[in-house]
Amino acid sequence: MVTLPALPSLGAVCPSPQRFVGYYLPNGCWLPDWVPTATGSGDAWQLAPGHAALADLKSELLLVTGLENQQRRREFGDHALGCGAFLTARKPGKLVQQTSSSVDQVLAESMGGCTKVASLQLGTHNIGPTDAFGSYYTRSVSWRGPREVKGDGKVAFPVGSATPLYKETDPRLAFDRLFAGPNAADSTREAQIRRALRKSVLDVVTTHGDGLRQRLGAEDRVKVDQLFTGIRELEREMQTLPPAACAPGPRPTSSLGTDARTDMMGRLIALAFQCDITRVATFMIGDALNGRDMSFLEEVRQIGGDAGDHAVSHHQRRADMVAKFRAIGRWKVERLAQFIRTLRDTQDADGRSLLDSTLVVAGSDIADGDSHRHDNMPLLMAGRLGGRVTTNRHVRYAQSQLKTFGDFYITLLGMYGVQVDTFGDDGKEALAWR
Amino acid sequence: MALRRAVLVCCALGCAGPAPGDEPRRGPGDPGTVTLRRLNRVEYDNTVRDLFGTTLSPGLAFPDDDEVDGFDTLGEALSLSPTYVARYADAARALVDDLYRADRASYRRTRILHCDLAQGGFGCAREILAPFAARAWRRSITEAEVETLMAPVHTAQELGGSLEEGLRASFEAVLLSPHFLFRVELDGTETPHRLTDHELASRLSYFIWSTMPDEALTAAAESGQLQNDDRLGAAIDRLLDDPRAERLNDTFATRWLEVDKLESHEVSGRLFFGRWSGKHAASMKTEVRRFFQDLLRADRPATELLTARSTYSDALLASHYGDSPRVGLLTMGAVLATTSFSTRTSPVKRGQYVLDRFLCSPLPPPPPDVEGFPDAPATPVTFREILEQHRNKPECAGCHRLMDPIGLGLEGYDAVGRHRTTERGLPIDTSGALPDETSFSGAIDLAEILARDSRVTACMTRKLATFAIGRRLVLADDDAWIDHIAAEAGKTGGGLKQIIRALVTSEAFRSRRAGTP
Repeated sequence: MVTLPALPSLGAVCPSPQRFVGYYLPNGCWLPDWVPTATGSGDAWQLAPGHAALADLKSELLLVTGLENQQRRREFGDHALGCGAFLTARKPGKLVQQTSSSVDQVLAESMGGCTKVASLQLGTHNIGPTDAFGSYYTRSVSWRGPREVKGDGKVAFPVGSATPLYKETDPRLAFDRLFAGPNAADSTREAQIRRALRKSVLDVVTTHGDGLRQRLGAEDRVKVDQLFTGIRELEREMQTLPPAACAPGPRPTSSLGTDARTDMMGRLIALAFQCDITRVATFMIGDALNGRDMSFLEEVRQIGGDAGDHAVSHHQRRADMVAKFRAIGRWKVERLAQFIRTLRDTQDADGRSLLDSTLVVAGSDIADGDSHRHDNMPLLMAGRLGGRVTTNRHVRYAQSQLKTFGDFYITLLGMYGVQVDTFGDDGKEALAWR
Repeated sequence: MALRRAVLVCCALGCAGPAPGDEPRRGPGDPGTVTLRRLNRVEYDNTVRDLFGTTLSPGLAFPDDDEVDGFDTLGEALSLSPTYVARYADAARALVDDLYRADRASYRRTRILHCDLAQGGFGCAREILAPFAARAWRRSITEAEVETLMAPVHTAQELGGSLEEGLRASFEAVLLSPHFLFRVELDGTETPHRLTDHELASRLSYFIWSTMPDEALTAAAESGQLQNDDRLGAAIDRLLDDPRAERLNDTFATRWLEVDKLESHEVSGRLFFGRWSGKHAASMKTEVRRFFQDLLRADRPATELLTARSTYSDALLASHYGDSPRVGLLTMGAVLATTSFSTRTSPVKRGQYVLDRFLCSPLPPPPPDVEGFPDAPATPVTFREILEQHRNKPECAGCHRLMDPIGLGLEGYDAVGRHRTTERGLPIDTSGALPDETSFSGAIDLAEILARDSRVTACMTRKLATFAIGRRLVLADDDAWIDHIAAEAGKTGGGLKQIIRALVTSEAFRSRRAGTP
């Protein structure tokens, strides 16, 4: 039984913000560049070479390594499978949109009604190679699936028909969605009529949907419900008053260079957090399996030959390919570092750094780009989430322990007040990583 | 006798007696459950262009549509997220603004705004909305539905706004309605059952034109003519003869052949400097499009896709190809490049491609942890030798003995489709034998032999049917349905148009099975 989520009650009493960012880096990494040699906290551990760009942020970081995500269920289509599992910890259905809610959507739902936009999905491009599982798994890390409330009041997120949330790749369109649109505070008569008419349009369409739903089979209803989830969110965005103190600045242009465009998306997330327009975001710095031409990087150009993101990730341990792969990895980490810095340097309403109330979780679809394994997965966090997370640490789980992303997310959800017993395919017990 | 049986069947279904030519064709095939399909970006743009006469293409700003089996017309893969819905709302507003910006006397404006709202008031608004909504929703609409659409006009008046403001909002409601965004097909009590006339007209029109039915097709649906096989056949022929049928080149052919994204195919700039560029990709894609279009227009059999000579290489391609022998799709640059890696050819990929795209007999993916090939082996060996070693491994032999001979037969063309006789200094041997022990020598011989395989026609039919009907063909009855279509088409020459005709007139295409309640 599919039901539309209830329209959240507006003006609900909302706790002070806890924010979440899922940051996805495609095509795996060169593991020695990601995994620090020593574990521990403070000076006991040092950043791995590929994380040099994060040096000034070390005190804000927490690395958890040695976790697996779907290693025991791997099959042809590793990139799609791994990207689909990044925030769901679940192996997705093959060529069907079937999985469970990703952590960002679980959190967005738990914070429902507190912000104008429930959650934000941004990225740099939409290529979406099929990779045996379906293009939706290589270009979406955010998924909305079924939700169950159990007898003890805990919630569960079982597998079922799920909706991939398309990401926005144009900074200008993303800006408009967040900051433009009808101003609910404009009290002129013209503005009131405009708002009433927009509301009336959505009401008409909702009537059509209600009539139609009753005459459709279950699979078809899923599709119509997706339309109405979107219509309800439009309605909410229209009715929510923008926070009084919010100065987003000028609209970004759509034509920015690669670095500037990527960094702009990060700035938009920070602005949306600062204005409390949303508290949950995901970002993909490239789709899984994408072959984007990386020769805009000087080192890649100088070495020559293949420059496609995915082609280079199959380095086959050849020196020139590894050098290019590491250079591409460093570039991705530089952009991640720039984003974390933006959060650090942006003031929250209480005058503190946004990073204090945020947790950024960065990871990939596979571990090493060439061997395609799903154990010892790269996983890096930044931010303190209101003091719930102790940073400047490297925690390592021995691979023999078979600890998984599902276990990891149980702990993570708990820190946001969402109590679950299980998560994803393998999550059975909270890990004490925090 | 046949007619009498038809009458009995028909009466059992509770309908009036059939007119001549109306005998229900109880051919094989389960219509299956087609998940509600929303318009994809291309269909959305084509549809609003026909609806408004606009030159806007709002679909360009929509997120890319997901694909299954290579096509973006499968209901199960076409989903909507809030971002997409927000884009629909923007598009609706932009389209209505665009209509009101058009010259007051222009046809595209007066066709829709055909009465004076200031004089005619609510009555005029209704007269505008009723035919517009019927066209937009591709069916007849009820009085009650028109009344729901009038709500914004009433709201505007109540609040002291202008009727025009209200009417504009009503247009937006038409375009945001599920009746517009989805290709709605409803179920009755009986299953499976025939589609309504309007539902069938939409299936036909979106299949061949990738847009809404035009006036003539709508009129044919309105008067029940599409239930008649001869009339339906005539409608199919008319659609196929229209220039809009050329859209099949992009909506179907380049996707079926996986060359639709050729511009972003990775080719090593170091190894193929000057021999690969965006222009090469564009010329190669054009060659495929025109080749397919030509065979479709001339109603040639599907097998000629493998054996006909292409006459569409432009100057760039002509020099790229040189005077090397070429025949059919397998020797076209677009296909040869698509099935290669960035640095080298892949006989395995090419073999798998032919099995999957032309014979519909794809092989399972390799098991995990299989070693790839070394890109540059220490001592020069040919792929033939490497692959032979590979085939000696029992866990590899089963699939590679099917793929490798085909791929090796195409080794006379490099990773960007140029002809060659050596590879890393060693001569290339393009002879081989298929699993049934038919031997061949070179790509042209191979193409001729493959074209004799009855799976080629059935396979293309299967791809067309998947694209047209919008579901994956995984039902037990699907093979029988496809064979039936191919056999029916064979009776009239087996040309591409005949296949399309047999597909559309088949029972499964014209019917629908209800999904889970």
